[in-house]
Amino acid sequence: MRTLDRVRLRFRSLFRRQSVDLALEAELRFHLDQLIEENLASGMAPAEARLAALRTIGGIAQIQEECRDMRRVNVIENLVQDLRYGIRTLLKSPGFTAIAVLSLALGIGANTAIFSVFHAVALRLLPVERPGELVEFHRGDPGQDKPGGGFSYPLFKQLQDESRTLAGVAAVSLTPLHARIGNDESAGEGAYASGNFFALLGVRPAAGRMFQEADGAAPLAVISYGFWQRVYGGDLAAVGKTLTVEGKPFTIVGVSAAGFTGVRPGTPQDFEAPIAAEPYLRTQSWLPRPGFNWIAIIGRLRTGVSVERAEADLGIVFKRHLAATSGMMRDSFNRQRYLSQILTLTGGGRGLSHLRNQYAKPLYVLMAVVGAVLLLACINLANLLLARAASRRREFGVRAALGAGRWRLVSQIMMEALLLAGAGGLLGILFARWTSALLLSFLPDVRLDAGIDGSVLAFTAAICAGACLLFGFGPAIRAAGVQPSPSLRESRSSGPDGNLRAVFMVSQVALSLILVAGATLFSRSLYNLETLDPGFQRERVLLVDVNPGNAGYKDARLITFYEQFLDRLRETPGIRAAGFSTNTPISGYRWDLSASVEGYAGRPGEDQTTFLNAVSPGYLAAMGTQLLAGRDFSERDSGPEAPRVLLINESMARHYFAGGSPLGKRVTLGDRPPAEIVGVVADAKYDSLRETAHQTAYLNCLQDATPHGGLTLEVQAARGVDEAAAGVRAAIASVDKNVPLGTFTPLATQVKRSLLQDQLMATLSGLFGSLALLMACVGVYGVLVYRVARRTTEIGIRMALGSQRSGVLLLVLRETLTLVGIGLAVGVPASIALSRYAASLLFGLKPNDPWALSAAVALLLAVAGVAAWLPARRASRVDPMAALRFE
Amino acid sequence: MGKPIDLVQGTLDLLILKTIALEPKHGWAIAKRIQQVSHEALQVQQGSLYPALHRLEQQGWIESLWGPTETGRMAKFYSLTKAGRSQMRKELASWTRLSAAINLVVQEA
Repeated sequence: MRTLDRVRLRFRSLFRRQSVDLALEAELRFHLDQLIEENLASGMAPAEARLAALRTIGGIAQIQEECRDMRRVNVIENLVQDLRYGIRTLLKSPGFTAIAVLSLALGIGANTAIFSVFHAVALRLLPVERPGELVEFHRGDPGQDKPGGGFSYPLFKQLQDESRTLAGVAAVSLTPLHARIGNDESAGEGAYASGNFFALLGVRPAAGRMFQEADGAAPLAVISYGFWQRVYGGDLAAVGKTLTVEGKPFTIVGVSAAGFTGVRPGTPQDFEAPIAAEPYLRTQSWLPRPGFNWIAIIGRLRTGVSVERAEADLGIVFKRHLAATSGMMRDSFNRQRYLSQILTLTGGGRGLSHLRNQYAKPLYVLMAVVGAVLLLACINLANLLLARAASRRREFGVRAALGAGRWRLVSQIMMEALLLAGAGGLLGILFARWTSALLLSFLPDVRLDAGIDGSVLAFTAAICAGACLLFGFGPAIRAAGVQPSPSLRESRSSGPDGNLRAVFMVSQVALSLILVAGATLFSRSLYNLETLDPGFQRERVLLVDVNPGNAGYKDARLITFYEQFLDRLRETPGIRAAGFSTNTPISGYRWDLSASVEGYAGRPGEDQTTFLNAVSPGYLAAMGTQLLAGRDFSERDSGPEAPRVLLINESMARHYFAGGSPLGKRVTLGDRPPAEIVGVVADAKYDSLRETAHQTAYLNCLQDATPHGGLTLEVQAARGVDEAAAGVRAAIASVDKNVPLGTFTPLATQVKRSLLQDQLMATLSGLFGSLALLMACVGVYGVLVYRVARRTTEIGIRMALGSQRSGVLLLVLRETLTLVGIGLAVGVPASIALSRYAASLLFGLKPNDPWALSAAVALLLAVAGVAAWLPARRASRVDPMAALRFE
Repeated sequence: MGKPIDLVQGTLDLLILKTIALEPKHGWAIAKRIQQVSHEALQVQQGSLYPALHRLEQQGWIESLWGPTETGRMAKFYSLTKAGRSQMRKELASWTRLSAAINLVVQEA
């Protein structure tokens, strides 16, 4: 009540200022009149009585002002005044304001954008009940810092049944399910989830109900709120309708609460189906297979149980499961490795960690980069404000002389800074939307809602305030130090802030060196990846899936089909070479088995894992992979009766036959029949361009029909890829027009997809590096212009004493070089130290790569030289007479 | 009557609160009353009185109301609020302690 009254009072005094002032005046006039009356009563003449009264009462204006101070109105009123004044001053110099707001907008916008993505990837909590209690399960080899890998259903069941420390354990599949709407086969993407999934998370239905444990294996589906709105327009009648999942009908039982899209950031789920219904879709169910790791597991801790305790408890269950199932590993190396796996639990409140692990590091680096860009912008602004403060010394002097307190001056400049930061922030948010869209376009497989929500806005506001303090406070303090009299008298010589400016310049040079060096590192790394020889040809190779199995081909007919198709392709003009394979490079799919090689006694526990691909004759030629010894597959190797043959790569030959010839030796892969080595081929990248060559063997895909009948066709175009694609279509039509072809994908595109993160880093760090260079350029220019102006007299005297123009030019350039040199001396070691954190993102070069650093240093020197040229020339043109007369 | 005594820091608030404790008074009357009761020993300067009144009002210890004086003019009358009354008691107690303590020291010497 009291407080309310007081607030009311203060507001009254603020907004009804006039009436309050009138009241105050009336109150004081009453007092004055009483005094006069008293004086009259004591016998003074009216005029004298009035004068005496006025003398007694003192300055009425002062009393009024003091009363107003007492009401603490002035603080707010002063702010409003400063705000108005600040807006007026800023509008009076639109050029300065535009540059300031724009550079802040770029800096703040970039920070907001990166943060919004970082927030969506790594910070945002799932919209579930008490997310802090959730844990994510990981399995991995001991000592591995990034545990990964899925779990099998039997393992999940065992963990669920035998856990004593968790309130519940739920599973969600990592392989996607597709829902058909109309003609769109993958209009919705979903996942299997265990029956207790929603209950464990505490996700409520927005309509209908969630499926639960009791629903068993019934083909039900819960759709997401977004999918419900998108596909069914939010119609309640959607509940009970049929959703076609992978070609089979599922009944929609409910809609999950708005905002919930599963537990995998970056992979929002449109629907969930009970995992127990999996055998309904898969003819050979994965549920009983302990070797199929296709599930992610989350759990909820019982109250009071620590993650460590739960991990210890479940670790025992995990080990027991491994021991019981290790029989499925055929060789001792893999069995040992299987048994040594450990289970770890991490906080699961932010969802499954896959995306975080993948992108947290690049995003950290980008956050640091944009932070530095903002810092640069702030330094530039501080510089500009300092220059303005210097040119406004007279104004501040006058204000100080008129009685403005130190803090009034500070608060006024801070208000200007705040206005700039505010405007920059608002514009920056617009800019951020564009930047985060650009950023997300580099992550095509990631569907993220990186919108500007409350936490992002809070972050933006915080950096605005921080920036405002950073660039406003120094100049404000400087300005407040103005003494009324000297500043009214002095003209332009001397001034304390020359050193501060030098520090600004040095730090700008150092900061932009770090950014430019980073950009050079990332683009060189990308260049290395794009130009390295992967052991196959990237350009002019087209990939397309062929599935004659769907047209009824199998066994011997299947092989004949492929052979006919190959023959036809060989005759097709525009196609240089063609071949088939089960796997394609850098596709993310991997096939490996353990090898035992004739005449090679492995050490116990030796890793004999061999990567595999099954290819047809012509594959090597189509891919441009070199045959180093022996022969390629040919027609006489086809069919199940032909003697079994295989090709091995250089790494495998070196490992097993060190020096000797592998040709004619026999290799047994897993439980496959032994095969004879007929050729050695060059190493080629299998999983990623970054890998060192894996030991790889090539089987003949036409020797035994592949289980599903489908293969990928590789063709190398002689001229254009379009011509080659047309040729393929013509060829298959002439063999059997009922066999469907998939879509043509250039191999280069597939390879590039694996480089998206590198492209992201190179592009964005290049973008921000250029921005940094620009800012440094402006900064250096500004500082030099100022310093030259300051030293006009000195330069005039030098020239009057006989200094040449070139001498003056050199003087300024030398000084610039000294400052830039100091900046570089600070920047180079800092850059080396910092880029070490990004080492894991680089390929083919060290973080202290001398070329990248020298390039950055040279670039900065050039930019500084350009920025210094104009001021230096201006200095050399100083007219000694004019300069001296000015004083 | 000697020279008026300078007010001890912080005592003006107490004087004002005490003066209007019985009935609402306007600024002039408060100044007069303090002068009278102290036998002209205490002179309150207008320059300190009005800021003090406004501060006390801001703090919620006194409140004001415009009303007619005996001579029929309008003046701003200040009266004690509930919070003001307890504040007065507090300041009174501490003043009593302070003056007693000073007395002890002074008489000892």
